[in-house]
Amino acid sequence: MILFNIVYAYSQDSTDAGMISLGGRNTFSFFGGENINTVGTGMGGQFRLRLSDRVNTEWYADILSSKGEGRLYRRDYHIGWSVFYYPFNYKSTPSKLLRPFLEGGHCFDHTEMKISNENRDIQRLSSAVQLGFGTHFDITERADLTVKSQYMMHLGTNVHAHKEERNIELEKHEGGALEGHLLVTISFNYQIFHLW
Amino acid sequence: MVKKGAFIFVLFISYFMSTALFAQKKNDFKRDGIIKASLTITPGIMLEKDAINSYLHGFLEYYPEKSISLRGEAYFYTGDDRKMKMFEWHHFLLFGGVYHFGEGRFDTFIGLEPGISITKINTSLMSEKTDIVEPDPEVIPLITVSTGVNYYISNFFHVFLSFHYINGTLHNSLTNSESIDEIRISGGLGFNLDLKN
Repeated sequence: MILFNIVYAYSQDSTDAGMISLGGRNTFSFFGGENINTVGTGMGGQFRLRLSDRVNTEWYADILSSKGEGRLYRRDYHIGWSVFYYPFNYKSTPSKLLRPFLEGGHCFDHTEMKISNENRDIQRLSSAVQLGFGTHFDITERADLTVKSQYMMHLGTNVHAHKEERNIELEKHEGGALEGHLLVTISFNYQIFHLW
Repeated sequence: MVKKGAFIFVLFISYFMSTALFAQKKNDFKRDGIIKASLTITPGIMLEKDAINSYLHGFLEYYPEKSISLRGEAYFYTGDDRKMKMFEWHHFLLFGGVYHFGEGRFDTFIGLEPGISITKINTSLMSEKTDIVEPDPEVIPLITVSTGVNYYISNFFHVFLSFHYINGTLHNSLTNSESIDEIRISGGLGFNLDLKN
């Protein structure tokens, strides 16, 4: 903790380029696909590396869990990165409460669909791209609360569930397929030090 | 049960937020640079089930500045008030940021702490005639919002009272997916140390 304060004191500069931030997040998933009929919830963490006053990058990992029909549920594990572009209000300062941004990025995803309490599940690895927007709320000069919304489009093997009579059947179809969901993320972030 | 729990939570948030509006005694007590910790027993009122869980609860918190702290918490499940425990494991890890109002020795706070729980249903509750397999332990992603109040008695001790709302869903249960939402009330004596001085 002492080292943290020493590093930050010597690294302050007038530009935000090179700033490293750490944070934690909660994510909500909407429209998670057929048979997933509730809002999914998740948690994760991220770090940010600011490249310039107007461009920031975020590197994250999170877990999402969504309930389906009956005992069906789905888990998504994401690891990826995003680029933020600040069209205006790019300086971190509490006097300007909002710092809106546009976001685009990519991630790798591992999806599991399971029937709980039965030894039945299907899994797939896929790649995804995301596009969205959001804003930082600068609580102090170094701390911010970020709210963002993004649409994530997966490209990979199609996995889904369907009901046959009274049972839920899991299916996996090889070959490429597009599938997406809307994600809303709330995160708390704290600036740690300047890398350069 | 859900409405009752939500009402209690809103009531306490309102009370503690309102105390931040009144003038607090300003003195030379500085929070930035403080590290604090405590270990206590915390009850958790389940909102979707008729149960009160009990946890051994510890936290470690650091104030890089007077209005912001970074907080990590762990909850070790010790049982509940039912004849047969609902869970074999139900342990939690949380980490997040907290915003503190006011200055001096008395501060109220509100925080966002994402986390995970490691949960396994008590398999003794399973019927011998059931056709389901024994549920596996599950890692559950959590959303946690906290609020509360601290009072720094001296440079080394403080007392605290905090409320946490935890949201999560257990899928590997004996039936369909179940909510594990809880309100936790935690309080006691903590230790603090000023790292800057």
